[in-house]
Amino acid sequence: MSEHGLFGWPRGDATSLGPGDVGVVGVPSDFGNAYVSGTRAGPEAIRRSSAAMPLRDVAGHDLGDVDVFDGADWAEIVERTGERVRRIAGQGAMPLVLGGDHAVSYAAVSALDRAGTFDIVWFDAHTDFCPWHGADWHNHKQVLRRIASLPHVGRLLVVGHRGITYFDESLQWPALEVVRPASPGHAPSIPSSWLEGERPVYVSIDIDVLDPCTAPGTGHPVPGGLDLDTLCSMVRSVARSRRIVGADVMEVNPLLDYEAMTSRAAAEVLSALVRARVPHSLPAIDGALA
Amino acid sequence: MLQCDVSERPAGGSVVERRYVVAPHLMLEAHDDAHAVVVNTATGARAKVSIAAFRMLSRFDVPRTVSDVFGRSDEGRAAARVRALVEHGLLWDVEVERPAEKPRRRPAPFRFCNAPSYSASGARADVVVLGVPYDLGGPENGREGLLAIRQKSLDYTYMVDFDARQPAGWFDAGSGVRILEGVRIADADDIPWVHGEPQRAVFERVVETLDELLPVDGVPLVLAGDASVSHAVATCCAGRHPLSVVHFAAGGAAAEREGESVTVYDVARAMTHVAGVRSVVTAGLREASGYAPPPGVTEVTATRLRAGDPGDLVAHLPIAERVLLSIDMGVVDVSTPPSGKGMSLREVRDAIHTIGGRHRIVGVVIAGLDPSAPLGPVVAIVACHLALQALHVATLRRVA
Repeated sequence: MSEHGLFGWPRGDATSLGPGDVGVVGVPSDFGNAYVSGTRAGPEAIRRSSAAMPLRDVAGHDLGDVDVFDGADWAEIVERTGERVRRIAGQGAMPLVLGGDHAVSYAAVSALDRAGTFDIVWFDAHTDFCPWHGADWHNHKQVLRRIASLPHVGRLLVVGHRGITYFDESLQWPALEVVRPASPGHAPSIPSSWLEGERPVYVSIDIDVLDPCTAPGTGHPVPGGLDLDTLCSMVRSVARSRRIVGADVMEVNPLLDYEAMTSRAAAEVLSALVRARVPHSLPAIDGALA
Repeated sequence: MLQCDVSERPAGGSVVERRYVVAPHLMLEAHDDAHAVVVNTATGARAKVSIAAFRMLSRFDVPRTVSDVFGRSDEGRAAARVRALVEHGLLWDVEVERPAEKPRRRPAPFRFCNAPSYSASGARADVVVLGVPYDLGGPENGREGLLAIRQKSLDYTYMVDFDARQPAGWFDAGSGVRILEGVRIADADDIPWVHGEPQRAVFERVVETLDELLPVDGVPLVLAGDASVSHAVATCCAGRHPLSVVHFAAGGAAAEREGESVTVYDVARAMTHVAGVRSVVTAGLREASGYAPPPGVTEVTATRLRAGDPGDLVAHLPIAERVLLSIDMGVVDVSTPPSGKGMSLREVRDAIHTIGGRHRIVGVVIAGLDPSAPLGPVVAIVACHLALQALHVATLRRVA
């Protein structure tokens, strides 16, 4: 593990964080992806790539990785991740989760239940809305459906859905809105209704929202994705106009990457997000674990 | 589970007097207490046999007579079982001469979308996938492209609905509907070819194999090393019904022929001479080829397609025509952001839907993928998408 954390921020624990800071936690898990393993190496790869782009104008601490290699099952990993996220939010800081497969996002979103109702902006080539019957642990293709059922989750926006999948990803949720990739001559953008309002937003970025030319290192790349500038621009526009209650970047798979292109892209989009959100700081969540 | 070839019968004379040996190329693939699965590694044929039969088989590791193996007292009882193994091609009579015969197909490491093997289900398939790793019709290293496409296609697994027991198809985010639902796909492996073999011989093998494999209304999906193979596929399909060809390629494909072999530069011109081919439209050229297309060939550049009515693409085809779709993957520009020099995935997809909306697509060729090129892995994903979209359109619309 590298000496410094994400963007050169110091290593530390939750008590190092102050209101408005960024608290980073890695979840090196690929439990939620039954087909392609390798995202367990994602957090460290993103940290390595971020070393070339230090952020001295944003306060942050890297709390390291959640233990996942001690025989923990998926439920325990969700619980451990949730506990870290609650501790970060309890300091009034913004949790920033490095995945791991996208199923991990549920742990972060569910742990923020004391932040009141918030919306979700989900950058992803897939809707992750496959049927989930509750009998098993959810996987990375069902995660948003499970998140949508949480009582503190309001509206959901999926950006970048495209391509062909073998599961049915037809939209079956009234609060779910989808922005598809650009049509010829028209760049995609965040709908204006999502750039206003007091309700906070959780931003989740599956790196496969990017085109495989930009981000080849992911388990299920889909052609026709966003370019990095467009993604960063969209993330900035959300972060500047809405209060960010938490964020994550998922599905970076260094085993499939080419010259760290994907982990570097992940670091760049996170950099865009945390820089854009500087004007906002989160009030400490009452009753959260300290 | 298919049976091994039943190509030999015991020659004259008593079974017990003749010498037998286990057929070459057999390997044990799996076994349990009751059965063994043996595979002929030369043909890919598999056979499930009882453990007792497998044990008997393994005792003929060198040429032996039945009495050598079982002794005089048991040879009578064993003879019937030995005869059955011979009839299934698992044991060979060493005295029988076998002409060296090239297998017509060669097993591929992966099946397209992990669809069933043709041998298991091909006779009932709506779509038959065939690989032709021939790439001497052009400069690209396309022979490994088939493997890359099939391997990448495992991300789009062919599944059968649990209740309906029909192929489940896939969900297409672009249209918001399921595609290829109920369409049965079977993968028939690859056509083998060797260096030094005349192109004509390879193409004849392609035509014969497709003729043999394709059901009456079946749609071939041919994964080819390079686009010259489209000539062979057109020969087969046009032999069934007259048709036109829409050939997507980055460069002109109607150059003057030089020599007998068909190349990626003249395949459009060559196809106009195939009996039953009425016209060829070469679409998606990055720039005009600079020469006058011969009669029967029309060229439509990517720029013209982008600027004009998509109907431009089909304006040159007879009404309600059968169409063979040939896609040289070089036509697709996968760079991000698009450099605008080629057609995007979406543009090719839209063109396929335009063609399929007015005509009947009777076959699909995907060719010219070099997986070692810098963007080869990305092009492999694009190839999977285009193949599934083209098959969807081909099996959706049936023109009387």
